[in-house]
Amino acid sequence: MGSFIFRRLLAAIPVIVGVVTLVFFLVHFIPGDPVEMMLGDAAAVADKIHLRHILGLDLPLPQQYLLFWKNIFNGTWGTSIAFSRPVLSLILDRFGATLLLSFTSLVIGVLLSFPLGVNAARHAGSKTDTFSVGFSLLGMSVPIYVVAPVAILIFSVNLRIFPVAGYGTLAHLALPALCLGFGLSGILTRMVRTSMLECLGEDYVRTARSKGLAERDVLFKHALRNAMIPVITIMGNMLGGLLAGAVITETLFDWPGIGKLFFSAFQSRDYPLVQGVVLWIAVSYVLINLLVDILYSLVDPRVRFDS
Amino acid sequence: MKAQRRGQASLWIGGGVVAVMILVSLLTPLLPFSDPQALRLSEQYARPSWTHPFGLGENGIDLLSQVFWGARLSLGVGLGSVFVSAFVGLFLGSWAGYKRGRWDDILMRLVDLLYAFPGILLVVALAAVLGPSVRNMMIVMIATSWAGYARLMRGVTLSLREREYVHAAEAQGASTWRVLVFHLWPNLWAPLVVQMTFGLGGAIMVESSLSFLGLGAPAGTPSWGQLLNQGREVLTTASHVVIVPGVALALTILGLNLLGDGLRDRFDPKTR
Repeated sequence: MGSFIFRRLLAAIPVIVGVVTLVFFLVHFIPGDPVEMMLGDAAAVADKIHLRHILGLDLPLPQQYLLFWKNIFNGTWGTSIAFSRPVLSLILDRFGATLLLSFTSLVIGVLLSFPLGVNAARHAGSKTDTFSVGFSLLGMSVPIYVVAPVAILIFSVNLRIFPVAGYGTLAHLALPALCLGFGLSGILTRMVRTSMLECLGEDYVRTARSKGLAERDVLFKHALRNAMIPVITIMGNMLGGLLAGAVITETLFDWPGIGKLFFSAFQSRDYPLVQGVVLWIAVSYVLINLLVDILYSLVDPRVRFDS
Repeated sequence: MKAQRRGQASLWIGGGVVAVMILVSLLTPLLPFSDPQALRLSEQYARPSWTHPFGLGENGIDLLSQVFWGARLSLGVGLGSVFVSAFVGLFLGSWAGYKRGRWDDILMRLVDLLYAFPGILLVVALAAVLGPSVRNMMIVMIATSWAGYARLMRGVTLSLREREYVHAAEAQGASTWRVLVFHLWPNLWAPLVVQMTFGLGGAIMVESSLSFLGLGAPAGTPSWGQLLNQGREVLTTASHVVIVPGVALALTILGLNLLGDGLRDRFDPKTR
Protein backbone atom coordinates (compact mmCIF):
# COMPACT_ATOMS: atom_id res chain seq x y z
CA MET A 1 0.00 0.00 0.00
CA GLY A 2 2.81 2.42 0.96
CA SER A 3 4.62 1.96 -2.33
CA PHE A 4 1.33 2.32 -4.23
CA ILE A 5 0.64 5.69 -2.58
CA PHE A 6 4.22 6.80 -3.27
CA ARG A 7 4.00 5.77 -6.95
CA ARG A 8 0.66 7.53 -7.36
CA LEU A 9 1.97 10.74 -5.79
CA LEU A 10 5.03 10.60 -8.02
CA ALA A 11 2.88 10.09 -11.12
CA ALA A 12 0.72 13.06 -10.10
CA ILE A 13 3.63 15.53 -10.11
CA PRO A 14 3.84 15.97 -13.92
CA VAL A 15 0.04 16.35 -14.12
CA ILE A 16 0.04 19.05 -11.42
CA VAL A 17 3.00 20.86 -13.00
CA GLY A 18 1.27 20.60 -16.40
CA VAL A 19 -2.03 22.08 -15.17
CA VAL A 20 -0.30 24.90 -13.26
CA THR A 21 1.95 25.74 -16.24
CA LEU A 22 -1.01 25.76 -18.60
CA VAL A 23 -2.96 28.13 -16.36
CA PHE A 24 0.12 30.32 -15.71
CA PHE A 25 0.45 31.10 -19.40
CA LEU A 26 -3.32 31.25 -19.96
CA VAL A 27 -3.81 33.81 -17.23
CA HIS A 28 -1.17 36.11 -18.73
CA PHE A 29 -3.12 36.22 -21.98
CA ILE A 30 -6.26 37.61 -20.31
CA PRO A 31 -6.97 41.00 -21.84
CA GLY A 32 -6.51 43.82 -19.29
CA ASP A 33 -3.73 44.99 -17.04
CA PRO A 34 -3.99 44.34 -13.27
CA VAL A 35 -1.93 47.49 -12.53
CA GLU A 36 -4.33 49.69 -14.50
CA MET A 37 -7.24 47.97 -12.81
CA MET A 38 -5.76 48.77 -9.38
CA LEU A 39 -4.62 52.34 -10.02
CA GLY A 40 -7.19 53.39 -12.64
CA ASP A 41 -6.65 54.95 -16.07
CA ALA A 42 -5.86 58.37 -14.63
CA ALA A 43 -2.81 57.21 -12.60
CA ALA A 44 0.61 58.62 -13.45
CA VAL A 45 2.77 56.50 -15.74
CA ALA A 46 5.59 56.56 -13.15
CA ASP A 47 3.27 55.11 -10.51
CA LYS A 48 2.21 52.34 -12.87
CA ILE A 49 5.84 51.47 -13.69
CA HIS A 50 6.72 51.47 -9.99
CA LEU A 51 3.84 49.16 -9.05
CA ARG A 52 4.58 46.87 -11.99
CA HIS A 53 8.15 46.60 -10.73
CA ILE A 54 7.06 45.88 -7.14
CA LEU A 55 4.73 43.12 -8.34
CA GLY A 56 7.42 41.64 -10.60
CA LEU A 57 5.21 42.14 -13.65
CA ASP A 58 8.00 43.92 -15.55
CA LEU A 59 10.06 40.72 -15.64
CA PRO A 60 10.06 38.51 -18.75
CA LEU A 61 7.39 35.79 -18.60
CA PRO A 62 9.79 32.83 -18.13
CA GLN A 63 11.37 34.66 -15.18
CA GLN A 64 7.91 35.32 -13.67
CA TYR A 65 7.23 31.61 -14.06
CA LEU A 66 10.39 30.67 -12.15
CA LEU A 67 9.56 33.27 -9.49
CA PHE A 68 6.15 31.64 -9.07
CA TRP A 69 7.72 28.24 -8.28
CA LYS A 70 10.27 29.92 -5.97
CA ASN A 71 7.37 31.45 -4.03
CA ILE A 72 5.69 28.05 -3.80
CA PHE A 73 8.77 26.61 -2.14
CA ASN A 74 9.24 29.53 0.28
CA GLY A 75 5.76 28.88 1.64
CA THR A 76 4.01 32.17 0.75
CA TRP A 77 2.82 31.11 -2.72
CA GLY A 78 3.40 34.73 -3.76
CA THR A 79 1.51 37.88 -2.82
CA SER A 80 -1.99 38.60 -4.04
CA ILE A 81 -2.19 41.79 -6.12
CA ALA A 82 -5.73 42.65 -5.07
CA PHE A 83 -5.49 41.70 -1.37
CA SER A 84 -1.77 42.49 -0.76
CA ARG A 85 -1.53 39.32 1.33
CA PRO A 86 0.31 36.00 0.94
CA VAL A 87 -1.68 33.79 -1.41
CA LEU A 88 -1.45 30.68 0.77
CA SER A 89 -2.93 32.42 3.81
CA LEU A 90 -5.81 33.73 1.65
CA ILE A 91 -6.51 30.23 0.36
CA LEU A 92 -6.36 28.71 3.85
CA ASP A 93 -8.78 31.40 5.10
CA ARG A 94 -11.33 30.46 2.44
CA PHE A 95 -10.80 26.71 2.41
CA GLY A 96 -12.67 26.18 5.70
CA ALA A 97 -15.87 27.59 4.19
CA THR A 98 -15.52 25.44 1.08
CA LEU A 99 -14.77 22.33 3.14
CA LEU A 100 -17.86 22.92 5.30
CA LEU A 101 -20.15 23.45 2.30
CA SER A 102 -18.65 20.50 0.38
CA PHE A 103 -19.03 17.93 3.14
CA THR A 104 -22.48 19.10 4.21
CA SER A 105 -23.83 18.98 0.65
CA LEU A 106 -22.24 15.59 0.00
CA VAL A 107 -23.78 14.21 3.22
CA ILE A 108 -27.18 15.58 2.14
CA GLY A 109 -26.68 14.02 -1.30
CA VAL A 110 -25.83 10.64 0.23
CA LEU A 111 -28.71 10.76 2.73
CA LEU A 112 -31.19 11.45 -0.08
CA SER A 113 -29.78 9.14 -2.72
CA PHE A 114 -28.89 5.94 -0.88
CA PRO A 115 -32.37 5.09 0.48
CA LEU A 116 -33.93 6.12 -2.85
CA GLY A 117 -31.45 4.20 -5.01
CA VAL A 118 -31.44 1.01 -2.89
CA ASN A 119 -35.24 0.96 -2.63
CA ALA A 120 -35.64 1.59 -6.34
CA ALA A 121 -33.34 -1.33 -7.20
CA ARG A 122 -35.05 -3.58 -4.69
CA HIS A 123 -38.48 -2.84 -6.14
CA ALA A 124 -37.45 -2.36 -9.78
CA GLY A 125 -40.39 -1.37 -11.97
CA SER A 126 -42.54 -0.30 -8.98
CA LYS A 127 -43.88 3.17 -8.20
CA THR A 128 -40.97 3.70 -5.79
CA ASP A 129 -38.61 2.97 -8.67
CA THR A 130 -40.42 5.39 -11.00
CA PHE A 131 -40.31 8.07 -8.30
CA SER A 132 -36.60 7.65 -7.71
CA VAL A 133 -35.85 7.68 -11.46
CA GLY A 134 -37.91 10.87 -11.79
CA PHE A 135 -36.20 12.44 -8.78
CA SER A 136 -32.77 11.59 -10.13
CA LEU A 137 -33.63 13.01 -13.57
CA LEU A 138 -34.86 16.22 -11.97
CA GLY A 139 -31.72 16.54 -9.83
CA MET A 140 -29.53 16.07 -12.89
CA SER A 141 -31.53 18.39 -15.14
CA VAL A 142 -32.18 21.47 -13.02
CA PRO A 143 -28.99 23.51 -12.67
CA ILE A 144 -28.04 25.14 -9.38
CA TYR A 145 -28.71 28.66 -10.69
CA VAL A 146 -32.34 27.64 -11.23
CA VAL A 147 -32.74 25.61 -8.01
CA ALA A 148 -31.10 28.26 -5.82
CA PRO A 149 -33.31 31.26 -6.72
CA VAL A 150 -36.45 29.11 -6.39
CA ALA A 151 -35.25 27.81 -2.99
CA ILE A 152 -34.43 31.36 -1.87
CA LEU A 153 -37.89 32.46 -2.96
CA ILE A 154 -39.61 29.68 -1.03
CA PHE A 155 -37.46 29.27 2.09
CA SER A 156 -36.02 32.75 2.56
CA VAL A 157 -38.55 35.18 1.10
CA ASN A 158 -41.89 33.45 1.71
CA LEU A 159 -41.32 31.12 4.67
CA ARG A 160 -38.44 33.17 6.17
CA ILE A 161 -36.71 30.04 7.50
CA PHE A 162 -33.20 30.64 6.14
CA PRO A 163 -31.24 33.81 5.35
CA VAL A 164 -30.93 34.71 1.65
CA ALA A 165 -27.12 34.67 1.62
CA GLY A 166 -24.06 35.05 3.82
CA TYR A 167 -21.82 33.00 6.06
CA GLY A 168 -21.34 32.34 9.74
CA THR A 169 -24.24 30.34 11.15
CA LEU A 170 -25.86 26.98 10.55
CA ALA A 171 -28.85 28.76 9.02
CA HIS A 172 -26.56 30.36 6.42
CA LEU A 173 -25.18 26.92 5.51
CA ALA A 174 -28.56 25.20 5.12
CA LEU A 175 -29.80 26.63 1.82
CA PRO A 176 -26.59 26.41 -0.28
CA ALA A 177 -25.91 22.92 1.08
CA LEU A 178 -29.48 21.76 0.35
CA CYS A 179 -29.38 23.15 -3.19
CA LEU A 180 -25.98 21.59 -3.93
CA GLY A 181 -26.98 18.35 -2.20
CA PHE A 182 -30.13 18.11 -4.33
CA GLY A 183 -28.06 18.28 -7.52
CA LEU A 184 -25.58 15.70 -6.24
CA SER A 185 -28.34 13.36 -5.14
CA GLY A 186 -29.69 13.22 -8.70
CA ILE A 187 -26.53 11.63 -10.07
CA LEU A 188 -25.91 9.54 -6.95
CA THR A 189 -29.43 8.07 -6.91
CA ARG A 190 -28.99 6.92 -10.50
CA MET A 191 -25.58 5.41 -9.76
CA VAL A 192 -26.74 3.60 -6.60
CA ARG A 193 -29.82 2.24 -8.39
CA THR A 194 -27.93 1.02 -11.47
CA SER A 195 -25.10 -0.48 -9.46
CA MET A 196 -27.47 -2.17 -6.98
CA LEU A 197 -29.60 -3.59 -9.83
CA GLU A 198 -26.49 -5.18 -11.28
CA CYS A 199 -25.38 -6.65 -7.94
CA LEU A 200 -28.82 -7.95 -7.01
CA GLY A 201 -28.75 -10.10 -10.15
CA GLU A 202 -25.40 -11.72 -9.25
CA ASP A 203 -24.99 -15.34 -8.17
CA TYR A 204 -23.62 -14.48 -4.72
CA VAL A 205 -26.81 -12.60 -3.88
CA ARG A 206 -28.90 -15.59 -4.99
CA THR A 207 -26.67 -17.82 -2.84
CA ALA A 208 -27.02 -15.52 0.16
CA ARG A 209 -30.81 -15.54 -0.21
CA SER A 210 -30.95 -19.33 -0.66
CA LYS A 211 -28.92 -19.73 2.54
CA GLY A 212 -31.80 -17.98 4.27
CA LEU A 213 -30.00 -14.75 5.17
CA ALA A 214 -32.19 -11.89 6.31
CA GLU A 215 -33.06 -9.55 3.39
CA ARG A 216 -31.44 -6.66 5.24
CA ASP A 217 -28.13 -8.54 5.40
CA VAL A 218 -28.39 -9.53 1.74
CA LEU A 219 -29.02 -5.93 0.74
CA PHE A 220 -26.53 -4.12 2.92
CA LYS A 221 -23.76 -6.66 3.63
CA HIS A 222 -23.64 -8.35 0.23
CA ALA A 223 -25.18 -6.24 -2.53
CA LEU A 224 -24.62 -2.64 -1.36
CA ARG A 225 -21.01 -3.21 -0.40
CA ASN A 226 -20.20 -4.49 -3.86
CA ALA A 227 -22.32 -1.82 -5.49
CA MET A 228 -20.27 0.86 -3.78
CA ILE A 229 -17.23 0.76 -6.10
CA PRO A 230 -18.65 2.88 -8.97
CA VAL A 231 -20.54 5.02 -6.45
CA ILE A 232 -17.33 5.81 -4.56
CA THR A 233 -15.67 6.86 -7.82
CA ILE A 234 -18.48 9.29 -8.56
CA MET A 235 -18.46 10.58 -4.97
CA GLY A 236 -14.71 11.13 -5.22
CA ASN A 237 -15.14 13.12 -8.42
CA MET A 238 -17.92 15.11 -6.79
CA LEU A 239 -15.89 15.87 -3.68
CA GLY A 240 -12.91 16.87 -5.83
CA GLY A 241 -15.15 19.24 -7.78
CA LEU A 242 -16.75 20.62 -4.61
CA LEU A 243 -13.43 21.22 -2.87
CA ALA A 244 -12.34 23.17 -5.93
CA GLY A 245 -15.16 25.47 -5.02
CA ALA A 246 -18.65 25.60 -6.39
CA VAL A 247 -18.15 28.87 -8.30
CA ILE A 248 -21.82 29.52 -9.04
CA THR A 249 -23.21 28.39 -5.67
CA GLU A 250 -20.63 30.41 -3.77
CA THR A 251 -21.34 33.46 -5.93
CA LEU A 252 -25.12 33.04 -5.59
CA PHE A 253 -25.09 32.68 -1.82
CA ASP A 254 -22.18 35.05 -1.20
CA TRP A 255 -20.29 32.13 0.37
CA PRO A 256 -16.64 33.08 1.01
CA GLY A 257 -15.07 29.92 -0.43
CA ILE A 258 -12.38 28.90 -2.90
CA GLY A 259 -14.69 29.08 -5.95
CA LYS A 260 -15.64 32.69 -5.29
CA LEU A 261 -12.00 33.54 -4.60
CA PHE A 262 -10.97 31.95 -7.93
CA PHE A 263 -13.64 33.86 -9.85
CA SER A 264 -12.83 37.22 -8.28
CA ALA A 265 -9.09 36.60 -8.77
CA PHE A 266 -9.74 36.01 -12.47
CA GLN A 267 -11.92 39.10 -12.76
CA SER A 268 -9.26 41.32 -11.14
CA ARG A 269 -6.40 39.70 -13.12
CA ASP A 270 -4.76 38.78 -9.81
CA TYR A 271 -2.16 36.48 -11.42
CA PRO A 272 -0.46 35.14 -8.27
CA LEU A 273 -3.81 34.36 -6.64
CA VAL A 274 -5.18 32.59 -9.73
CA GLN A 275 -2.04 30.46 -9.98
CA GLY A 276 -2.08 29.67 -6.26
CA VAL A 277 -5.73 28.63 -6.30
CA VAL A 278 -5.16 26.47 -9.39
CA LEU A 279 -2.22 24.71 -7.72
CA TRP A 280 -4.31 24.16 -4.59
CA ILE A 281 -7.20 22.73 -6.59
CA ALA A 282 -4.96 20.44 -8.67
CA VAL A 283 -3.29 19.06 -5.53
CA SER A 284 -6.64 18.52 -3.76
CA TYR A 285 -8.00 16.77 -6.84
CA VAL A 286 -5.05 14.37 -6.96
CA LEU A 287 -5.28 13.64 -3.23
CA ILE A 288 -9.01 12.97 -3.40
CA ASN A 289 -8.52 10.55 -6.30
CA LEU A 290 -5.81 8.77 -4.33
CA LEU A 291 -8.12 8.55 -1.32
CA VAL A 292 -10.81 7.05 -3.55
CA ASP A 293 -8.39 4.35 -4.74
CA ILE A 294 -7.47 3.51 -1.14
CA LEU A 295 -11.16 3.35 -0.21
CA TYR A 296 -11.70 0.77 -2.97
CA SER A 297 -9.57 -1.76 -1.14
CA LEU A 298 -11.44 -1.16 2.11
CA VAL A 299 -14.85 -1.64 0.48
CA ASP A 300 -13.83 -4.50 -1.83
CA PRO A 301 -10.99 -6.67 -0.49
CA ARG A 302 -10.53 -8.15 -4.00
CA VAL A 303 -8.90 -4.87 -5.01
CA ARG A 304 -5.16 -5.20 -4.46
CA PHE A 305 -2.50 -2.62 -5.23
CA ASP A 306 0.55 -4.85 -5.51
CA SER A 307 -0.46 -6.51 -8.78
CA MET B 1 -41.15 -5.32 -19.55
CA LYS B 2 -41.89 -2.26 -17.42
CA ALA B 3 -38.32 -1.08 -17.88
CA GLN B 4 -38.72 -1.47 -21.63
CA ARG B 5 -41.92 0.59 -21.57
CA ARG B 6 -40.18 3.22 -19.49
CA GLY B 7 -37.32 3.31 -22.02
CA GLN B 8 -39.84 3.82 -24.83
CA ALA B 9 -41.58 6.58 -22.89
CA SER B 10 -38.22 8.29 -22.23
CA LEU B 11 -37.41 8.14 -25.92
CA TRP B 12 -40.72 9.59 -27.05
CA ILE B 13 -41.14 12.26 -24.36
CA GLY B 14 -37.49 13.34 -24.52
CA GLY B 15 -37.47 13.21 -28.31
CA GLY B 16 -40.69 15.25 -28.40
CA VAL B 17 -39.36 17.97 -26.07
CA VAL B 18 -36.08 18.19 -27.99
CA ALA B 19 -37.86 18.26 -31.36
CA VAL B 20 -40.12 21.11 -30.16
CA MET B 21 -37.08 23.03 -28.89
CA ILE B 22 -35.22 22.60 -32.16
CA LEU B 23 -38.30 23.59 -34.16
CA VAL B 24 -38.83 26.63 -31.97
CA SER B 25 -35.23 27.77 -32.35
CA LEU B 26 -35.39 27.32 -36.14
CA LEU B 27 -38.72 29.12 -36.54
CA THR B 28 -38.18 31.96 -34.04
CA PRO B 29 -37.15 34.53 -36.70
CA LEU B 30 -40.35 33.76 -38.64
CA LEU B 31 -42.70 33.96 -35.65
CA PRO B 32 -44.51 37.22 -34.87
CA PHE B 33 -42.58 38.02 -31.69
CA SER B 34 -41.71 41.53 -30.67
CA ASP B 35 -38.09 42.61 -31.01
CA PRO B 36 -36.22 40.89 -28.11
CA GLN B 37 -34.12 44.04 -27.62
CA ALA B 38 -37.07 46.49 -27.61
CA LEU B 39 -37.10 48.49 -24.36
CA ARG B 40 -40.21 49.52 -22.42
CA LEU B 41 -38.60 51.42 -19.56
CA SER B 42 -41.87 52.48 -17.93
CA GLU B 43 -43.03 48.86 -17.75
CA GLN B 44 -39.78 47.33 -16.40
CA TYR B 45 -40.35 43.97 -14.66
CA ALA B 46 -44.11 44.01 -15.39
CA ARG B 47 -45.78 40.72 -14.47
CA PRO B 48 -47.19 38.32 -17.15
CA SER B 49 -50.21 39.70 -18.98
CA TRP B 50 -52.17 39.07 -22.22
CA THR B 51 -49.88 41.34 -24.20
CA HIS B 52 -46.70 39.88 -22.65
CA PRO B 53 -47.54 36.30 -21.55
CA PHE B 54 -44.14 35.71 -19.86
CA GLY B 55 -43.91 39.24 -18.45
CA LEU B 56 -41.18 41.84 -18.91
CA GLY B 57 -37.60 41.87 -17.69
CA GLU B 58 -34.85 44.43 -17.14
CA ASN B 59 -35.58 47.68 -19.03
CA GLY B 60 -38.90 46.17 -20.11
CA ILE B 61 -37.56 43.51 -22.51
CA ASP B 62 -40.23 40.96 -23.52
CA LEU B 63 -39.42 37.64 -21.81
CA LEU B 64 -41.40 35.51 -24.30
CA SER B 65 -39.33 36.83 -27.15
CA GLN B 66 -36.12 36.61 -25.09
CA VAL B 67 -36.77 32.98 -24.10
CA PHE B 68 -37.41 31.93 -27.73
CA TRP B 69 -34.32 33.77 -29.01
CA GLY B 70 -32.39 32.38 -26.03
CA ALA B 71 -33.39 28.85 -27.09
CA ARG B 72 -31.89 29.59 -30.50
CA LEU B 73 -28.61 30.64 -28.89
CA SER B 74 -28.47 27.71 -26.43
CA LEU B 75 -29.27 25.07 -29.00
CA GLY B 76 -27.12 26.67 -31.70
CA VAL B 77 -24.05 26.91 -29.47
CA GLY B 78 -24.77 23.50 -27.92
CA LEU B 79 -25.27 21.65 -31.21
CA GLY B 80 -22.30 23.36 -32.87
CA SER B 81 -19.89 22.57 -30.05
CA VAL B 82 -21.20 19.02 -29.56
CA PHE B 83 -20.83 18.12 -33.26
CA VAL B 84 -17.29 19.49 -33.48
CA SER B 85 -16.21 17.92 -30.15
CA ALA B 86 -17.77 14.58 -31.12
CA PHE B 87 -16.03 14.57 -34.48
CA VAL B 88 -12.65 15.47 -32.95
CA GLY B 89 -13.18 12.81 -30.25
CA LEU B 90 -14.26 10.19 -32.81
CA PHE B 91 -11.30 10.93 -35.05
CA LEU B 92 -8.61 11.05 -32.35
CA GLY B 93 -10.06 8.39 -30.03
CA SER B 94 -10.66 5.76 -32.72
CA TRP B 95 -7.27 6.41 -34.33
CA ALA B 96 -5.44 6.17 -30.98
CA GLY B 97 -7.39 3.06 -29.95
CA TYR B 98 -6.72 1.35 -33.27
CA LYS B 99 -3.05 2.29 -33.73
CA ARG B 100 -2.05 2.19 -30.01
CA GLY B 101 1.61 2.99 -29.29
CA ARG B 102 3.23 6.35 -28.62
CA TRP B 103 0.46 8.60 -30.05
CA ASP B 104 -2.12 6.76 -27.98
CA ASP B 105 -0.02 7.40 -24.85
CA ILE B 106 0.36 11.09 -25.70
CA LEU B 107 -3.37 11.49 -26.37
CA MET B 108 -4.33 9.76 -23.14
CA ARG B 109 -1.91 11.88 -21.07
CA LEU B 110 -3.49 14.98 -22.66
CA VAL B 111 -6.94 13.68 -21.73
CA ASP B 112 -5.69 12.98 -18.18
CA LEU B 113 -4.41 16.56 -18.00
CA LEU B 114 -7.85 17.92 -18.91
CA TYR B 115 -9.49 15.58 -16.40
CA ALA B 116 -7.04 16.55 -13.63
CA PHE B 117 -8.91 19.77 -13.07
CA PRO B 118 -12.60 20.46 -12.40
CA GLY B 119 -14.32 21.11 -15.74
CA ILE B 120 -16.25 24.23 -14.78
CA LEU B 121 -13.13 26.01 -13.50
CA LEU B 122 -11.25 25.26 -16.73
CA VAL B 123 -14.24 26.56 -18.67
CA VAL B 124 -14.35 29.75 -16.56
CA ALA B 125 -10.57 30.24 -16.92
CA LEU B 126 -10.59 29.81 -20.70
CA ALA B 127 -13.68 31.98 -21.13
CA ALA B 128 -12.07 34.75 -19.06
CA VAL B 129 -8.98 34.60 -21.27
CA LEU B 130 -10.87 34.70 -24.55
CA GLY B 131 -13.50 37.26 -23.53
CA PRO B 132 -17.27 37.14 -23.88
CA SER B 133 -18.51 36.28 -27.37
CA VAL B 134 -20.57 33.47 -28.90
CA ARG B 135 -17.63 32.24 -31.00
CA ASN B 136 -15.30 32.18 -27.98
CA MET B 137 -17.91 30.35 -25.94
CA MET B 138 -17.97 27.61 -28.57
CA ILE B 139 -14.18 27.43 -28.64
CA VAL B 140 -14.15 27.01 -24.85
CA MET B 141 -16.80 24.30 -24.98
CA ILE B 142 -15.03 22.36 -27.73
CA ALA B 143 -11.63 22.71 -26.03
CA THR B 144 -12.95 21.27 -22.79
CA SER B 145 -15.34 18.57 -24.04
CA TRP B 146 -13.57 16.75 -26.91
CA ALA B 147 -11.57 14.70 -24.37
CA GLY B 148 -14.70 12.94 -23.07
CA TYR B 149 -15.62 11.77 -26.58
CA ALA B 150 -12.02 10.76 -27.35
CA ARG B 151 -11.81 8.65 -24.20
CA LEU B 152 -15.10 6.90 -24.97
CA MET B 153 -14.27 6.29 -28.64
CA ARG B 154 -10.82 4.97 -27.75
CA GLY B 155 -12.30 2.56 -25.21
CA VAL B 156 -14.88 1.15 -27.64
CA THR B 157 -12.28 0.93 -30.45
CA LEU B 158 -9.93 -1.04 -28.19
CA SER B 159 -12.52 -3.80 -27.93
CA LEU B 160 -13.63 -3.59 -31.59
CA ARG B 161 -10.11 -3.80 -33.04
CA GLU B 162 -9.86 -7.43 -31.92
CA ARG B 163 -13.05 -8.46 -33.78
CA GLU B 164 -12.77 -10.90 -36.67
CA TYR B 165 -14.16 -8.52 -39.30
CA VAL B 166 -11.38 -6.05 -38.48
CA HIS B 167 -8.73 -8.78 -38.76
CA ALA B 168 -10.33 -9.90 -42.05
CA ALA B 169 -10.14 -6.36 -43.46
CA GLU B 170 -6.50 -6.08 -42.36
CA ALA B 171 -5.70 -9.46 -43.97
CA GLN B 172 -7.14 -8.14 -47.25
CA GLY B 173 -4.67 -5.30 -47.07
CA ALA B 174 -7.07 -2.50 -46.02
CA SER B 175 -5.30 0.73 -45.03
CA THR B 176 -5.64 2.25 -41.56
CA TRP B 177 -8.14 4.82 -42.87
CA ARG B 178 -10.19 2.22 -44.66
CA VAL B 179 -10.44 0.11 -41.49
CA LEU B 180 -11.35 3.17 -39.43
CA VAL B 181 -13.90 4.73 -41.78
CA PHE B 182 -15.58 1.63 -43.22
CA HIS B 183 -15.23 -0.96 -40.46
CA LEU B 184 -14.87 0.80 -37.09
CA TRP B 185 -16.82 4.05 -37.40
CA PRO B 186 -20.12 2.41 -38.37
CA ASN B 187 -19.91 0.48 -35.09
CA LEU B 188 -19.03 3.55 -33.03
CA TRP B 189 -21.98 5.71 -33.90
CA ALA B 190 -24.42 4.22 -31.36
CA PRO B 191 -22.37 5.06 -28.22
CA LEU B 192 -21.37 8.35 -29.88
CA VAL B 193 -24.99 9.44 -30.44
CA VAL B 194 -25.91 8.58 -26.83
CA GLN B 195 -22.92 10.53 -25.53
CA MET B 196 -23.77 13.47 -27.84
CA THR B 197 -27.32 13.63 -26.49
CA PHE B 198 -26.09 13.87 -22.89
CA GLY B 199 -23.30 16.15 -24.12
CA LEU B 200 -25.81 18.56 -25.63
CA GLY B 201 -27.54 18.90 -22.25
CA GLY B 202 -24.14 19.53 -20.65
CA ALA B 203 -23.21 22.06 -23.35
CA ILE B 204 -26.45 23.99 -22.81
CA MET B 205 -25.74 24.04 -19.07
CA VAL B 206 -22.19 25.32 -19.70
CA GLU B 207 -23.50 27.99 -22.09
CA SER B 208 -26.03 29.27 -19.58
CA SER B 209 -23.48 29.03 -16.71
CA LEU B 210 -21.02 31.19 -18.65
CA SER B 211 -23.70 33.69 -19.63
CA PHE B 212 -24.90 33.69 -16.01
CA LEU B 213 -21.37 34.59 -14.85
CA GLY B 214 -21.05 37.25 -17.55
CA LEU B 215 -18.44 35.27 -19.49
CA GLY B 216 -20.68 33.93 -22.25
CA ALA B 217 -22.76 35.77 -24.79
CA PRO B 218 -22.05 39.54 -24.97
CA ALA B 219 -24.37 41.73 -22.90
CA GLY B 220 -27.69 42.30 -24.63
CA THR B 221 -27.73 38.98 -26.52
CA PRO B 222 -30.90 37.06 -25.61
CA SER B 223 -29.66 34.24 -23.39
CA TRP B 224 -31.24 32.14 -20.64
CA GLY B 225 -28.14 32.47 -18.45
CA GLN B 226 -28.17 36.26 -18.67
CA LEU B 227 -31.89 36.40 -17.90
CA LEU B 228 -31.32 34.21 -14.82
CA ASN B 229 -28.57 36.54 -13.67
CA GLN B 230 -30.79 39.61 -14.15
CA GLY B 231 -33.63 37.86 -12.33
CA ARG B 232 -31.42 37.10 -9.33
CA GLU B 233 -31.23 40.82 -8.56
CA VAL B 234 -35.03 41.23 -8.48
CA LEU B 235 -35.97 37.84 -7.09
CA THR B 236 -38.24 39.20 -4.40
CA THR B 237 -40.10 41.71 -6.56
CA ALA B 238 -40.18 40.06 -10.02
CA SER B 239 -39.70 36.31 -9.60
CA HIS B 240 -41.00 35.61 -13.13
CA VAL B 241 -37.67 36.89 -14.54
CA VAL B 242 -35.99 33.86 -12.95
CA ILE B 243 -38.81 31.33 -13.26
CA VAL B 244 -39.44 31.75 -17.03
CA PRO B 245 -35.87 31.09 -18.29
CA GLY B 246 -35.32 28.59 -15.45
CA VAL B 247 -38.25 26.44 -16.57
CA ALA B 248 -37.15 26.67 -20.22
CA LEU B 249 -33.63 25.59 -19.32
CA ALA B 250 -34.70 22.78 -17.00
CA LEU B 251 -37.25 21.46 -19.54
CA THR B 252 -34.68 21.38 -22.34
CA ILE B 253 -32.07 19.56 -20.26
CA LEU B 254 -34.71 17.19 -18.87
CA GLY B 255 -35.81 16.42 -22.44
CA LEU B 256 -32.24 15.76 -23.53
CA ASN B 257 -31.56 13.51 -20.53
CA LEU B 258 -34.77 11.55 -21.22
CA LEU B 259 -33.82 11.20 -24.89
CA GLY B 260 -30.30 10.09 -23.93
CA ASP B 261 -31.73 7.48 -21.54
CA GLY B 262 -34.15 6.23 -24.18
CA LEU B 263 -31.45 6.00 -26.86
CA ARG B 264 -29.09 4.19 -24.51
CA ASP B 265 -31.81 1.68 -23.64
CA ARG B 266 -32.50 1.19 -27.34
CA PHE B 267 -28.86 0.69 -28.29
CA ASP B 268 -27.64 -1.15 -25.20
CA PRO B 269 -30.49 -2.93 -23.37
CA LYS B 270 -28.06 -4.29 -20.74
CA THR B 271 -27.76 -0.84 -19.13
CA ARG B 272 -31.50 -0.55 -18.56
